[in-house]
Amino acid sequence: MATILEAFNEARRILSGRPNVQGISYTSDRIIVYAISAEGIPTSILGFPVEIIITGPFRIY
Amino acid sequence: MPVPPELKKKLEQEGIVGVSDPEFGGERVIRVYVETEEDAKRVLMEMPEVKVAGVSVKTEPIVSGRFYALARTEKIRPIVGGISTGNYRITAGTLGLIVRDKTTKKPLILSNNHVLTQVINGIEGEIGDPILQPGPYDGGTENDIVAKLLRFVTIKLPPETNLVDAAVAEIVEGLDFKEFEIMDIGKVTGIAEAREGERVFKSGRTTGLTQSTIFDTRATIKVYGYYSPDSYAIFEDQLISSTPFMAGGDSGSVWVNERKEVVGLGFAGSDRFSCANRIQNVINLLDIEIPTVRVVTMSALPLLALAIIPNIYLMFKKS
Repeated sequence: MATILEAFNEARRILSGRPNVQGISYTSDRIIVYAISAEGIPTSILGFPVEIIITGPFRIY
Repeated sequence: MPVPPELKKKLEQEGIVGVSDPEFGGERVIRVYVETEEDAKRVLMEMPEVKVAGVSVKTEPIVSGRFYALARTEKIRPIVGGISTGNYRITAGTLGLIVRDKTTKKPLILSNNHVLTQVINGIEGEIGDPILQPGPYDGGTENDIVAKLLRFVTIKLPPETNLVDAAVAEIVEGLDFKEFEIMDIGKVTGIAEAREGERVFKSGRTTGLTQSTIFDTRATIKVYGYYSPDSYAIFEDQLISSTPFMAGGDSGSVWVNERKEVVGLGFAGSDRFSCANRIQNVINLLDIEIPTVRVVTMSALPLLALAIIPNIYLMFKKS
């Protein structure tokens, strides 16, 4: 079983090229993905569930 | 939170200029802002407690003098956290907090790189650039120089990543300032790590004093608007609030928790969230300090007395 940090690093790798993904994070038991849409985002990574949070892009204030 | 009607009525009494039911934690008190020391004594004599929704709450008179309209976008002296500022080439952002240089101990303005330099239109500022208060968009001119750009952390584009959007400027000689103080929040008490679910406040140029809660403490996010409107920079180790409690022009305002400890430096947001750099990263990369203020509570007084009395006894014994 992978650790959550390994899953987070894997999430960074596979999601880095996706224009709809705006950010990623993690808790002790899941990966969090901030995205404009859920398109192409897997429901789990290395056995950890992925929570998708729909948001617009982040911009400087 | 709106003040209950029974408290608002107190404003009709002579000498009372404000009432507040603050929510910064600790024992609940009703703050009564008064014009003079005499008014403060009268408040303590005549209404040491007030009834709020049937509950007796102690009052705390504060001598503030009369309040006058003070827009954060106007010229404000002494300078303080929470007001308009900016590099002479930008529009306007927020003066986050007046901090200290860790080495020289000189007072510095803390804000974002994109407020104190000019990273938006393709170039970063130069050391020594004039910093205006208010910012240029709010009418700041060469007559309003309050500081000179001292240090900033360069914003790197992908594949490189960033931890902070932060800069400091050295306050010009002779200018009056309020160190470690934020408009509508007061003196900060130090720094702390943000915790998920805890309440945070910010005081900014555009939206004033607002609050939210911490939603995420270790996000890696793309943030648009650096160098050109459509290019983005990647920030790691970021704080995300549960609501968008900042807006354009609030950049540079610091996030504080209920104990008035600084936890972040606000800089960006989306339609759903606001984002801040972790303050520990800002402090490390800019070589600044925000000292911890020890608050002596009533419960600590007996301990303090126990610590001091033997020394006084020894002092007298020696003499």
